[in-house]
Amino acid sequence: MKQIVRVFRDLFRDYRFTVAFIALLFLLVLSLLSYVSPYDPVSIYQVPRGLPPSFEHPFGTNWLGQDVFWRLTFAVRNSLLIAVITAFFSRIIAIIVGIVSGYKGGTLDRVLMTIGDTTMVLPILIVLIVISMILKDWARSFVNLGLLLAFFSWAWDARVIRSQVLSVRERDFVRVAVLSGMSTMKIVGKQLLPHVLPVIFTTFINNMSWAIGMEITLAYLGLGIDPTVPTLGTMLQRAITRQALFLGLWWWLAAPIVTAVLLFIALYWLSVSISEYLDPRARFQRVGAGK
Amino acid sequence: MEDILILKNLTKVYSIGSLLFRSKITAVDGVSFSLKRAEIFTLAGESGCGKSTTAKMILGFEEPTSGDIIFEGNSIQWWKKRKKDFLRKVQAVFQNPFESFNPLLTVDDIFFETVMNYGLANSRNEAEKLIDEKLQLVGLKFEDINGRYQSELSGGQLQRASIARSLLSNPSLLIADEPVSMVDASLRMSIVNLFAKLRDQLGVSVIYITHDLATAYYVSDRIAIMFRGNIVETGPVDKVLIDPKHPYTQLLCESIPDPDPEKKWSREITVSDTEYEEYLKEGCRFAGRCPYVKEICRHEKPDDVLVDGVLVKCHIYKK
Repeated sequence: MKQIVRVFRDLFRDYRFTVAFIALLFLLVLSLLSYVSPYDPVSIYQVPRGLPPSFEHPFGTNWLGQDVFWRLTFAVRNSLLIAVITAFFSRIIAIIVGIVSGYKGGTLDRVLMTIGDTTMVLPILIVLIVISMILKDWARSFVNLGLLLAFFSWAWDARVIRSQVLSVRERDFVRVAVLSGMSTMKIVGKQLLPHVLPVIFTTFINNMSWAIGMEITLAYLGLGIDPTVPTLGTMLQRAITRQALFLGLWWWLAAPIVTAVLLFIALYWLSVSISEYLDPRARFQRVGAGK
Repeated sequence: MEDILILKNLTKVYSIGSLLFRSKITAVDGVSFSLKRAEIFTLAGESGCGKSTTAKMILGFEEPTSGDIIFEGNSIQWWKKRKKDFLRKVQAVFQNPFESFNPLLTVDDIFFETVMNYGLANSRNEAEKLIDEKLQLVGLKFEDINGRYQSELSGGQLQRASIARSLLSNPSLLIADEPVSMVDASLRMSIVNLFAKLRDQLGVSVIYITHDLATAYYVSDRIAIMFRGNIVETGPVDKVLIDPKHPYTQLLCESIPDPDPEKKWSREITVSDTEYEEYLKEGCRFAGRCPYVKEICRHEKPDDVLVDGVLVKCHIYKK
């Protein structure tokens, strides 16, 4: 417990972490507000159309008669959900592939890394567009879209985890663990995994922001999630296809853009400052060696 | 007495480079020796001569390219299927005490793991007693390591703890890979004395890998001098180090400074930096530095010759 407090105190010395943490907390509260929303996220013509921001409708209403603020709470929740699903599944693949190929090495390592490299060099965006065009209905559920994105994003992180495992594997304490009669599974779980966890954590965050970006890109092209279900991507796509700017409803367009930018900055700063904190050399520069 | 460990023509070849431009380095080249019960056997030699690779092959961390390892009458392949029994009998101590313990786990964790995995105790109390008993052998107490992290102990304490851990399962063979090179002089003696005590009281055989000839002379029964993957001289330690036969051993012994300020080094000590070439060389690998080099040395590999109870790999002694 005392250690956790100390870790957070060190982390909060970095303004980027502080800003990112507060922004994320804010967005999390926003997404939780969706559970008390007075409006249905999908139905249209629930409120007067095209009202500017006011006390009653903080972010205004759109041309379809929906409250932008309450829709946004659903959008943030759904986007975060897709991001977490993607990051979760791609982490599972990346951890298994990274640890197996790093620890076992040899032919298995070469085979797994070749598969990974192959998915890495694919033009992911084009492939994703083609796949979600073909599997139109299949890709509309959150879990399926998450799985699809996860399948194309594990390779980089598997390589990062593998390289970490490679360096830890050669250290003597792993040999001592072998000598102490621990099974391979136990060595991986107890001796290796704790050394790999920081990498897993930072790549998790990076993967989340990548997934949100991909979802927005696909939704903008009219692919991926059902356009009536609010996510950051579908909100943006709706606003653009319904000519929000021509109608003068800038708040309709601005809400998802500002939120997405805020989310990206928060996730990016979080991952940068955490990975800097975990890298001892960079940390000494920031915190100072004496403290 | 029966031989506990026999190495027959053990060879390890590493290939380096890409698929097309591949070259091979023979790190260990036809090493053979045998080890008796309750004996301290020293493997000595300069850095990169294949001492540690030999140790790793015995422990099963590296696969030998060719050759046999026979432990307690059974080959290493037979033991491979009984890995746990093998590791219970063969334990090791490594060079760097700071690397021997996981920095993210407490030091006592690996002790309890060893006790649990080999079923050495039935309850936690019993385990603690056993661990304390082994730690006492190296002058530590259970309280010294309990709940402490690696960073909270000194290098000497860690190295002693590392030895105590290796003794938990009462091994019959202990492989000590440069165990004293990172501890101070006084601790060095007590660790070396501990090995002698293990040999005399518990009948443990020790393979003591070192480049420190002084402690090797002090503690070991027999010694093997390695050079570039070959064992160039094997025999009782007082014969090998007092009256060295092989030119390389002579060079090694001469490079130990005398504790007499008046005495100067008798000969220029030259250290070759052609390590890579020496590994690839035909014939005797020491030929490039040997003062007694003959024509035959450059073409033909020397065989082991028995001179005065010492096995020497040199053409000089060939009849």
